[in-house]
Amino acid sequence: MADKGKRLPLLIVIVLGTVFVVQYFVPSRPSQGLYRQALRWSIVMGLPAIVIAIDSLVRHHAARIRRRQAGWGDSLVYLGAALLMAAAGLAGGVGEGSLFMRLFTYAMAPMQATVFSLLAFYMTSAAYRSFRARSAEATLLLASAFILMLGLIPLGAAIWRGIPAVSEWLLLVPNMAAKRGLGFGIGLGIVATALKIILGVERSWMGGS
Amino acid sequence: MSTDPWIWLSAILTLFILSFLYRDNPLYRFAEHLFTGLAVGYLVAVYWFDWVKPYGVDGIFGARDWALLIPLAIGTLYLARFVPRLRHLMLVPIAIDLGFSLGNSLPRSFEYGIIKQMQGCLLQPAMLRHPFDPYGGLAVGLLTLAGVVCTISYFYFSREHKGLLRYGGQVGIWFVMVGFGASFGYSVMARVSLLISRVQFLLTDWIHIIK
Amino acid sequence: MGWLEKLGAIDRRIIYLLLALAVTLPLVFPFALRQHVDRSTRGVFEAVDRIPAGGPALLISFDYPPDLGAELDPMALTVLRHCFARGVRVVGLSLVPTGAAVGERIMRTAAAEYGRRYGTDYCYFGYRPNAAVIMQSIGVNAKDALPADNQGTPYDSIPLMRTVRNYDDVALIFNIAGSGTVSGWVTYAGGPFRVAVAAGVASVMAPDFIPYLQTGQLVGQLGGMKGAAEYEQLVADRGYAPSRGTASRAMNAITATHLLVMALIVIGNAAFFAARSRRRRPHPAEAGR
Repeated sequence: MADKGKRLPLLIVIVLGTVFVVQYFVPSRPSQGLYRQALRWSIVMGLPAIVIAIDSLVRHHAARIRRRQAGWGDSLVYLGAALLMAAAGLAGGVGEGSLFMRLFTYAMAPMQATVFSLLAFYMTSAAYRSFRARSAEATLLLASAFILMLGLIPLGAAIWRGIPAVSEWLLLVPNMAAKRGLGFGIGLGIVATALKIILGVERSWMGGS
Repeated sequence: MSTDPWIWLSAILTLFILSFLYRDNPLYRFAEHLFTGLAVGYLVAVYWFDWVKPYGVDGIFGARDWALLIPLAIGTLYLARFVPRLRHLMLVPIAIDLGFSLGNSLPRSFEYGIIKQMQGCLLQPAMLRHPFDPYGGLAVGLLTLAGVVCTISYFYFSREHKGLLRYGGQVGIWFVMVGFGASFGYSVMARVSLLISRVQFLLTDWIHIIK
Repeated sequence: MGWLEKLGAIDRRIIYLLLALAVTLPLVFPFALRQHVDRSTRGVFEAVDRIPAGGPALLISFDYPPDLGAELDPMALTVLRHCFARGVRVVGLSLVPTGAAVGERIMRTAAAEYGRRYGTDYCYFGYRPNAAVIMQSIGVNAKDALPADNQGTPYDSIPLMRTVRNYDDVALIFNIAGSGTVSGWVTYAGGPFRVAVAAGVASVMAPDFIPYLQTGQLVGQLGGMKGAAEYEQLVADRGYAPSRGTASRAMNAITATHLLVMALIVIGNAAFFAARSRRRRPHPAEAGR
C-alpha cells in the first residue's frame, strides 16, 4: 500500500494521465483551452528544476575541493571554467562577438568535437581486431556494411554504377523492415509502460519498489 | 600560420585532447575538466536567457500574467529536495509533469509511431501496377512485411522458438544483421567526419596548409 | 606464425597513423568526385524548392550539440543557402541547450552571405525548453512557445513573426538532429498538425529513421556528411551557391578512410582464417604418427 505522502502524487498521475488521453479525442473548445494552458504551464513549472540540475553538476566538485581530495586541482579547473563561462554569458550577453560566444566557438565546441573524434581511432582499431566473419549472420552483417560503405562514397559508383543503387535499396528496404520491427517492439514497450504508470500499476517513479 | 590568439587557443586545446591517444596525461585531464566546466557555465547562461527570462521574468512579471504564478509555485516544490523533512513534496510537481506528459504523448505516440507504421506494412492495390518495382512493387511490399514480422518474431520471447517461430526468427535475424551492417557503415562515416573536421581546422585555420 | 597472421597483429599505433594519413592526405591533395544523389536527399531538396519566396516560412530546428557540427553544420548551411538564395523566410530555434549557440552562428553566417536581414527574412529564437511541449505549442499558438527571440525582442516586434501564427504558416519543418528529436517532430508536429517534416541527421542515426520516409511522415532525410555533400551538389548545380562546400571536400577524406577500414577488415579476417586453418591442421609431427 502506498505511503501517506505518495497517495496524492499517485492520484495526480492517474487523473492527469486520463484527462489528457481523453483530451486528445475531444477536440472541443474547452478541451483545446485546457491543452493550450497545460502546454504553457508545463514550461513555467520546470523553471525551479534548473536549480537542481546546476546543483547536481557542481556539488561533487565543490566537495572535492573543500576536502582536498585526490584530483581537487581538476575540480578547481572545472568550477573556475564554469564560473568564467556563466559570468561571461550573464554579464556580457550571449550574442555574436561576445566573450561567451568566443569561449563557446574557440574552446568549448572544439574540445567537445575532438573528444568524440577520438572514437574514429578506436573504431578503426576495433573493426580491424574484432569484425570477423565467424558465422553466417556475421558474414551478412559484414557484407551489408561493405556494400553500404562503398555506396556512401563517390568511388563506389566509379567501381560499378550499380553499387549506390544496391546500397540505397539495402537501406530503404531490408534495413527499413528491421528498424520498423525493432521500432514496434520499443514503441509498444513505451506505450505499455506509460499505461502502467497512468493506471497506477507501475510506481517506481516515486522511489522505492 | 594564424596570428589569431583564439585560433591558437582552439588548436592547443585540440592537441591536448588528442594527446589521449598516446595515454591518459595531465594535459588531457586539464582540457577535459576545462571543457566540462565551460559546458556547465554555458548551460547557466543559456537557461537564463532562453528559459528563465522569456518564460519566467518577462512571461509572468513583464506580461503581468499572474496565473502563471501557480505553475511556478508548484514547480518550487522541486526544491523540497534540499529539505529532508519536506522531501516527499517534490513528488507533486513530478506527478503533474509525468501525468501530463504521459497522457499527452500516449495517443500521439500510438497513432503516429505505431498505427502509421503498421499502415506502412500494408499491401496496396497500387503495388500490382509495377509488381517488381524495387521500392513500390508488390515483391518489395511482401519482403517488407516478411522482414517486419520476422524481426518481431526473433525478439518474441514469450514462447519457445520452435516450428514456424524458429524459422521466422532465423529470417528475422538476417534482416536485423543487414540493418546493423547499414548502421555500422554509417557509424564509420560519423566518427571519421568528426576527425576530418578537427584536421581541417588544424590544417586550414591554424597552420594554413590548406587554402 | 605465417606472414598473414603477422599482418593480423599490426600495432594499434600503426593503425592510428594510417587513419591520420587517410584523413590528412585527401584534404591536402583534394580530388573532385560527383556524388550519387539519394532519393531521400532529393526529397528534402524538392520540398525546400517548392516553398514560394516570401510565402510560408521554413522552420529549422538545430537539435544537436557542437561535437556533431562536423557533419551537421555543413548540412544546415547548405539548406539555409538554398532558402536565402530563393528568398524563403526562415525561423530558427534549438531544442537542445548546446544547439543554441550553434544555430545562432550558422544562421548569421548564411544570412550574411546572401545579404538577408534579421527580423524580416529570418529570425532566431535560441534554445527552447521542454521539446515535446514546444513542438505542440507552436502548432497551437506560436507566440506561447516563442515569446521573444534569443536577444529578448518580443514576438510581436519581429516583422517576420507577425505572419507566423502556427504551423498553418509554416511550409516545412527541417529538423537537424543529433538525437531522437526527429521522432518527436513527426509525432507531435507533423502528424497532429499536418505539416511537412524533413530531417538532417548525424550518420549514426541515419538508418534509424528510414521507416518514417516510407510512410511519408518525413518528406526526405539528409544522412550525415554524405547527405550534406549531396545537397551541396544540388544547390551548386542549380546555381544557388557559387561552389560546393565543406562537406563535398570532406567526402574525399571519407572515401580514403572507408577504403582503409575495409582493407583493415579484410586483412583482419584473412589473418583470422589463416590462424584458424593452422589450428585445425594437425602438426606434421602428429600427422606422421
